[in-house]
Amino acid sequence: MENILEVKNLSKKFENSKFEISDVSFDVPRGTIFGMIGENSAGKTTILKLIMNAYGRDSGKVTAYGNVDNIRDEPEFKNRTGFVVEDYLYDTISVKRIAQAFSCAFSNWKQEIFDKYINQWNIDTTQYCSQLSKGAKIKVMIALALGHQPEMLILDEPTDGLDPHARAELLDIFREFVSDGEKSVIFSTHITSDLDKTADYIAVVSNGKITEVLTADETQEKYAVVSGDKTDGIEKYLIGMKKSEIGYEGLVLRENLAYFDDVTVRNPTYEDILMYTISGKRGE
Amino acid sequence: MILKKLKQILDLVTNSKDNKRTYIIQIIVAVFAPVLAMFCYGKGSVIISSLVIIFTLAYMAVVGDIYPVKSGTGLSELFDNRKNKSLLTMISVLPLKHRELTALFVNRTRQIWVTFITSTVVCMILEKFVSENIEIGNWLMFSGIISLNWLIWTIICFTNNSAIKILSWLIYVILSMFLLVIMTISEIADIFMISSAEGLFLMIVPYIIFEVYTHLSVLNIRKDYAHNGQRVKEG
Repeated sequence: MENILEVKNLSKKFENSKFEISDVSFDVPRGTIFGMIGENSAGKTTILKLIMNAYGRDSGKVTAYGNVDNIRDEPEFKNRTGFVVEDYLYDTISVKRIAQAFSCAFSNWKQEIFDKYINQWNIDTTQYCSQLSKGAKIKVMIALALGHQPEMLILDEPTDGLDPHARAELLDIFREFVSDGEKSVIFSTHITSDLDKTADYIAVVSNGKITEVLTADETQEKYAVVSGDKTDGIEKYLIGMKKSEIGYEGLVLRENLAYFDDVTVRNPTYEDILMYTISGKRGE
Repeated sequence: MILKKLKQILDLVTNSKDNKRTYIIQIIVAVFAPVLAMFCYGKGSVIISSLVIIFTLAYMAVVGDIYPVKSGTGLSELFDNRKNKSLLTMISVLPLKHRELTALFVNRTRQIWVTFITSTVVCMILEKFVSENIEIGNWLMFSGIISLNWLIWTIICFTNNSAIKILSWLIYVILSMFLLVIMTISEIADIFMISSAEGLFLMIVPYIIFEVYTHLSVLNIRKDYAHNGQRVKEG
């Protein structure tokens, strides 16, 4: 499958900070939804901003659409990519004026597409951006991103601040966006259930590194969640675990299931992966 | 009556308040200065003044709203708040080369006055080397040509419309040839009271001033961009 985005050995150190992005590599195939999960301050937003060249990288390479380098060919890269990262809607101008500015910056801008989503979400474009709720701002940024007909969408926690109905709508938009098999979506989120419903791949981000990239099938094939009464002798096989009064539940590699007796086994969700690989500590 | 007509024309040309102000300034400069020159010099300046006025107004009518809107001057007031984080994030979202960055964020009115006044002063200084006498008529004549020249160059640099860009280049080439080549014929130069040397710097100096202003503006934007913890893109 051809890749729409290739990230190779991306690294970035920040002055006066111990945090760094270290040797991040991943590929995003065309026609897929690629999710990034990780705890707070894991580096998800930083990785996306390095792809956008909002932060200058120290080393590595980001290439999209075959041979478009995100630095050397930055205008083309951004012209073909829709970004929704942080709130860039300036308070004292209206949605209409922002759209006007975007219409001139992007060569493929289509006002009808922008208007379609704005009308769908009942957003008044004469409003100043400061008057918009958090959810409305996200919707406007998504409409702006879709309005210039990108080939790839990169979004940082786009469902954050949206009500369940709006979240479901957005996930439908993502599925429709990639349905032609040529375009892709990359988004980071804390709401792992969103990934369960949509993502073809997930990348687990922790401490500035990508620890794992899995497909939905690979997640099921590689991991299992076990729950039982006692952890005697099997803790070393648990990747992450949580204990309660009635027993324990933990994440384990399927190849190690043989070491577990008298346990209940189920398929893991992405939330399990996130919780147990990043947050779940053994014995706690 | 005239003001009402002008307003009607402006309403056709653009619906942006900021752009209307821009056009009004351009019209005043293009019309007022050469008209005054008429009274200083006589028939030669009448011809060139008329040409400048016709060129400028017709050009604006053709380009209309395409130029300012497509250049995104609707966000010009943000330039004064460029340290704002939202603004700097927006810069990273948009596919802008440095010229377009300035077009999007630069204060258009300030740009007009800075480049126009600077161009005029520089041209007058250069005039000292080619002419014995400098009169108020010279300054007034130059101002009209400079304003037209400036208009052409901003459009060439900022428009996304290929047809408009080609048209602008064509006008610039024709005007340059007229001033540089035709003016070598002394009889014609006497009519228009402008030499080819003057034509040369009138056509080139505004562009240079404009480019310098553009680059300085962009450097300022990028400096603040870097200051916010994000590294400046090279080039």
